[in-house]
Formats: sequence, structure tokens, C-alpha cells
Amino acid sequence: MQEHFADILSKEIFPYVSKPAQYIGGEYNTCKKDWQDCTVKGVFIFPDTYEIGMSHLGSRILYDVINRIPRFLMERAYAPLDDMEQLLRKKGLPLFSIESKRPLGDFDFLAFTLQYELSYSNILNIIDLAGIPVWSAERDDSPLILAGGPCAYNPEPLAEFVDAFLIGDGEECFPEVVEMIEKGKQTGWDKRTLLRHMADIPGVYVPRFYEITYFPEQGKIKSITATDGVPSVVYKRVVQDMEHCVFPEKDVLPNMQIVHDRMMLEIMRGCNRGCRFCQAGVVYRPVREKSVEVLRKQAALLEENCGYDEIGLVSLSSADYSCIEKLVTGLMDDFQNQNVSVSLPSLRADAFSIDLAKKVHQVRKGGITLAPEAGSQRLRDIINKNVTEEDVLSAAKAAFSEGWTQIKLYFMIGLPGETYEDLDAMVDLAHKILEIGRKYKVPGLKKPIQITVSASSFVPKAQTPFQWLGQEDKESIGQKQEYLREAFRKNSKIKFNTHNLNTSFLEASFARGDRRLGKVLYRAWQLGCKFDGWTEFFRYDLWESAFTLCGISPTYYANMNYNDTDILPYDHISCGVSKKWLWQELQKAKQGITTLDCRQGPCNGCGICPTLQVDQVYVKRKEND
Amino acid sequence: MTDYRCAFSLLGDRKFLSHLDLLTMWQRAMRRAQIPVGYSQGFNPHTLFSFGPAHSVGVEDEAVYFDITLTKAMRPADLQEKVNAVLPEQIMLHTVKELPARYEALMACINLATYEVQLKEMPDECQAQTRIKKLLQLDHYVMERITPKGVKSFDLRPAIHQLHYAGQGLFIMDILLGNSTQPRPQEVMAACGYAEKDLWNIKRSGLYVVNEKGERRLP
Repeated sequence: MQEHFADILSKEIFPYVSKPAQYIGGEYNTCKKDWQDCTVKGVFIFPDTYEIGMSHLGSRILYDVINRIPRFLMERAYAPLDDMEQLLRKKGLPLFSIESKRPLGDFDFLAFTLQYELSYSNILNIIDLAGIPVWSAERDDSPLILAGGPCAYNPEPLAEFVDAFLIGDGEECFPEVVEMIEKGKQTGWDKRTLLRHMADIPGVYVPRFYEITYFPEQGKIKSITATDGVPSVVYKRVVQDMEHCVFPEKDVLPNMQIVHDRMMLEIMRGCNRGCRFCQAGVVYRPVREKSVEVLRKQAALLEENCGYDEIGLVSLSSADYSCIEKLVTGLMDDFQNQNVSVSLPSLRADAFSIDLAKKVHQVRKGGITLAPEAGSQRLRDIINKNVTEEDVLSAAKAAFSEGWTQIKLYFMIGLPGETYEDLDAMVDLAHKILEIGRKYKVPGLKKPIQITVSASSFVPKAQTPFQWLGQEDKESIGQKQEYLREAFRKNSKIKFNTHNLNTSFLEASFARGDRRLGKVLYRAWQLGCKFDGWTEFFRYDLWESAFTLCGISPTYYANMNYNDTDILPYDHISCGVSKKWLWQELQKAKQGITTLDCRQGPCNGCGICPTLQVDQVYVKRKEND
Repeated sequence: MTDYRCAFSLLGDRKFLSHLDLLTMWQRAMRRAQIPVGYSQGFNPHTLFSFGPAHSVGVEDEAVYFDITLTKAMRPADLQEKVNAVLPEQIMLHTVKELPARYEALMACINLATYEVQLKEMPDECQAQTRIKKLLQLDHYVMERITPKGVKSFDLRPAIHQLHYAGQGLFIMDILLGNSTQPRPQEVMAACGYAEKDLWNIKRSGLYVVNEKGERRLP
């Protein structure tokens, strides 16, 4: 029967779809286990295409975390492209895992990673393509739907579709959840009993046990009540010892070109810089660095097992890693004459970072990206982006002098407290950088200087100091975009890009949204929404209809300001950083007062270390002991 | 520096990999096997691989050829064994031979491809033979192909070197690779009256060098 299904796929589906390599599995280092021998079988699903999903480090880690346990099996699936979906639906075939090509419905659990809000419609679509009811309440014997990842810090819009959310580092929580599923199968628990037991695992949030009530008039949340004795607040899980935790030594090598096709060497987790708009900077605390020795060993192992010719150092801010120079030099020594290159994404906007990039000969790789985020010092202080104009300009000077000709600048518009003067400052900064380019460009280089200014619209995210603030209204952001477009139009050397207003607006309404958005999501998906993050698929008109049909206003969620006494939709989920501290940060922002990274100064009292009983880990500090 | 000529097969679902995907696959496989592959000089060094006629997505392949330069000579059998130990499933390096100092490039010498096409259902033998005969009797057979740039007409007949029915639903054809548009096996089958949905499998079973006398040898 199973062979028959795989055969149908090979003969009647794969030959007729675009880029079939993304569905065939069988990649080098793929995990293959005997179906019969495994007590629990699941599928890890990245709800976007293979090219994007295979580039995701977290998926690589968790695939290994579960499959390392001999009796558990976890396969993979991704969102099928439109032609594949149409063909499957036409032939009445379910979506399948790419390893054993089994229908998703044959597994015990489906685990989704939540990387961005605009992938939610894909999640419903994938569950439906599996032939499973999308609502949690309508599923009984079918696979359990699990989810985790950064968007799980506000899981509420998905609360009625997902059975259990895993909060925090998956290395800790995920195996325990799978063990519980195993126990449930052995004991013969029904779904509710299993979920109730699961809710006792630290870091697991089972939404059905939390009752939410709302104020009738303005609709804000009146209460969140934990029932059945489940914890009133679910705290995230943390890997304290990054060096000794599970590390995937054998990456599954993609069948086709993917977005980030290189070794991803995670050098540390967490970032303490405290940019007030940044969710990752809050939810991945505390900073935990791995030692240079361990990293060099891991890079060597991965190179040997996978054959990568590029090492990408991965973290939220690689230049902040205590021994970054020592690490880079070490790696370059290790791979001398082996044609392996080292690359450093996510660098800071300063000369030190440019120096590092130069060290790894990144020059030939084209452009460099600097992210001042805001045009003026005043606004950068508000958002606590502790980068000065001098930093940015000296970075640009260093970059041009080293032979770069293309610089990309990332900004946000619609940041709290932004005025048109800040926009003017953004325009000035870009022009100053262009001037520096003209002055310091290496003589004789044929490539012309090109500055790209990319201005995204600020989206307030859950669990950040700006979570209480609504997004600036769409019309007003639109006017600012126009203003900037006009200001940059005169100069052909500066390219100006913005984000789609409706995309950012929808993202904002979900980022701080609550459980009631579930029905809007359902409606939108039914109307045909999917791949909302893709310009060619995004159908804002359908989303508008969905909101209207449900009698829910998206502006309520996107633009509303909360008060300090308000219950936030995700107050029962904690990443360990205290709400009180976040509120203080917001007050400091309003006064334009910055907060230093606690490694450079005293403890800021964010609460992460005492609340979760964890410590920051810095390599330098350890080595000085 | 020593050059080697290699050929590998792609079976089962591996046939859906694209030629470009295979380039990356091989670069990584050679690294895993610790084969001392040579690099070009210059600002952007790249591995010294040189592929023969490309693999087509969806066609099982027993004859994907490439030449490779190594910085240190190895016994071909060792090379083959080391590499086969680190390849994805259903991909196998089946030929490795050392090349002399001067040799003809793959793309310059290979001029014939053999394909085996399996039909889903057994055709009437007589009918299959008649259809083949009819096609081969013609001097020209103009076909249209839809490309991203629009509809393109080409003459399929001159490239068909041989075509016969081997029984059990299996057709075998030799296609000349040359300057004109190269017909796809499914187009040859269409010219015989078998639609794409009637085909079960297409396999490129060999690539050859044919001289004017019609004598063939392996590249």
C-alpha cells in the first residue's frame, strides 16, 4: 500500500510539477528508520517552501534532536508550491513526508515552526492538505499538531488550531513532549488526557486549558484563567550549556539550491544589546556563547560529514561574540588551502565589523549591509540602537576603502516618536555615505557605487518594550514612504525600497493579536490566502473580506495602544524577561534614555537570570577564570 | 595534475535532480570523500569539473559524464570506491578512468545518446512496428515545441539515428547530438503516436562517440 503511494507520486505527480527535487527527499544524511520499529513518528514542517525551510538552522537542530533517539522518527515536509497543491487536490492525494513519502495523516504528530506571522495561512493549508480537520476541537485520532519558534511567544491567533505549543529552546522541551506522546500511546490515553499530561511539562502551553474572557465594549482581554490545574504562566525552556547540548554533525544536504546553502555554525544564542523593537533580542536571552575550541571542532566535523565549502557564522550579532577575531582566525587556519570560506552575516554597523569582514575576504562577495535602523541619533536613542552616526560613517569609510562599492542600509519607518526630521536625517545619512563612497572608493574599480536604502515599516512585536504601542496607521506610513521616495528620486546612485504597507499591517495585527483572530485566519485561508509573505501570492483584498465577514477590525489589533494595566493576549506566556522591565524600557524610550548592554555595565534587571535560574555565558569571562 | 573521466547513474526519484543541483552535489561529495580536486586560478577559484551532455530532469540516467582534474594522481578504482561511499542513495559512480595528457573534451566528442522508453501499457506489437517504420521512412518530421520564448518549429527526423521496438512496451532509440535542435525522447514517442501520459519511464542508457562509418565507442 505504502509503496504504491510512493510509486504514484514518482510516476504521476513529480514529473508534472516545477522543481520536483524539493519533494523527493533522499538527500545525503537523511534519516531513514524502519517505520515498524519506531514508537512515535512525527513530521517537522516548515510552513514555507523547501528552499526557505531547508535554510533554517532550528529545523536542522530539532531534526537531529529527535532522530538521535533511536525509537523516535521525525521526517520533514514543507509547503508545496501552487502547482503541486493543485495536482494533489485534483488527484485527491494527501500531502506527504519527503523521507518515507507517507501521507501526513499516518504520523503521530505534526510539528510546525513559527518563524513569521505571514506563514499562518500556510499552516492551515498544510493541515488541510494532509486531510486533517484544521480546528483542534475537531481532531480526535488524527495527528497531534505541535508548534514552536519565535511566534509562539504570542501563540494566541493559532490557539484553536494547534494542540500544544513548545516555548523556548526546543532541544530541551521537544524530546520530553515526544516521550509523553509515547507514554500516551502505550497507556491508551485519549487526546484530552494526553494534552493534560503534556501541560505539566515545563515550557509546554496547551491553549485549550486557558480560558479567555473579554470586556464587552472595547474588546480588550478581561481575564486569562488557567483551568484543570495547569500552570498560570508557561515559562520558556533554556539550554544552559550550549557547548554540550545536542549538535547536528550531519546536516541533511539539500537536493536543490536553497536560500542559505552553507554550513551554519551557531556561535552563540541570545543578544543583550536591547534594541527596543527587537523580539529576538528579548526572547532568546540570556547570551550563551560556545567556546572557540568547540566551534572549531564542530566546523571540522560538519565539513567532513557534509562537504561544505562555506562556513556561515550564525548568531544575532556575530561581532559581539567575545572572541570573534580569535574564532575567525582559527577557522581560517583550520581550513587553509582547502578553499573553504568563512562568512559573517548579521554584523554591526561599525568599523570593527568591516574589519572582520575584510579578514574573511568577504569583499568579493558583493555588497555589505549596515543597519542604522533610524536616521537620527534622537530616534536611535529611543529605540536603543546603540550605534552612532560616527560608527556608521566610519564603517562606510572602511568598507569603501577596502574595495566594497555597494552598501545596503536598513531603516525602519513608523518607529515610535518618529518625525519628518528623522526622515530627513535618514536621507542625509544616505547622502553622506554616498559622499564617503566617492571619496574613498578604491581607484580603478569598475563597479559603480550603489547605495540601497531599504525602509521597512515598524511592526510592534509581542514581548518587546514596544508591545504596548500600536503600529502607525497605514496612510501615515504611506505618506512617509512617498516623502522618502521623492527625496531619493533625485539621485540615481541611491536606490530606495519599501515594504508593502498591507503586508506590514497584517503582520502587525497578528503579532499582538489574540485568540479571536483564529476565525479570521480560517476565513482568509478558506478564501484562498496562502504564502502571504510572497508578493505574488499576497491577496490583501481576501484578507479584508475575511476581517469583514468575521466582524473584526484589523486596525483594532494593529494600531491599538495598550495601557500598563491591560492584560496582553500573551501574558500567560513568559520568556523570562519581566513585563515590568519591558514597561520601564518603554518609559525610558519615551525620554530618549538608552540602556547599555549588561556586559558593558551593571545588570539592567531584565529578570531573565533570576526568573529562569540561568546564567549568561561569555567565553572571555570563562577563560579568564 | 591528472585528469579523470567519470560517469555516474541516477536512478529512481534521483532522476528529478537538475543538472545544476548535481554540480553542487558532486562538489560536496568530492570534499566528503577527500578527493584532491584541482581549483582554477584567479580571483574566484572554482573546482575543475567539466560536464558532458546535461542530465534532463525526470529522465533516469545511466550516463552522466564529467571530467575532473586532481592535484594528486589516484588509482581510478580507489577514487570510485571512496566517492561511492559518500553519495546519496540511487546515485552511483560506475566508470572512472585516467585520461592521457591530451584528450578530446566530452562535449566535443560525444555525439549520440541512447534512450529507453517504457510504455505504461503493452502496445500492439504490429502497430508499434508500423508506426516506427512510417516515421523512419520520412526524410523530415516537423514538430513544434513550446518554450518560454514561444513556439518553436524544428525537424525531428534527421536526429533519429535508430529507433526500434524491443517488445514488452520498450522502445530504444539512438539520437544524434549535434548542432540542430535535439529531439527529446518523448517527442520521438509523440511522433510515433504515443502521448506523454502513455509513458511509464524514460532512461538515458548511454552516451557514445560515433564515427562516419557508424562505429561506436564509449567516450
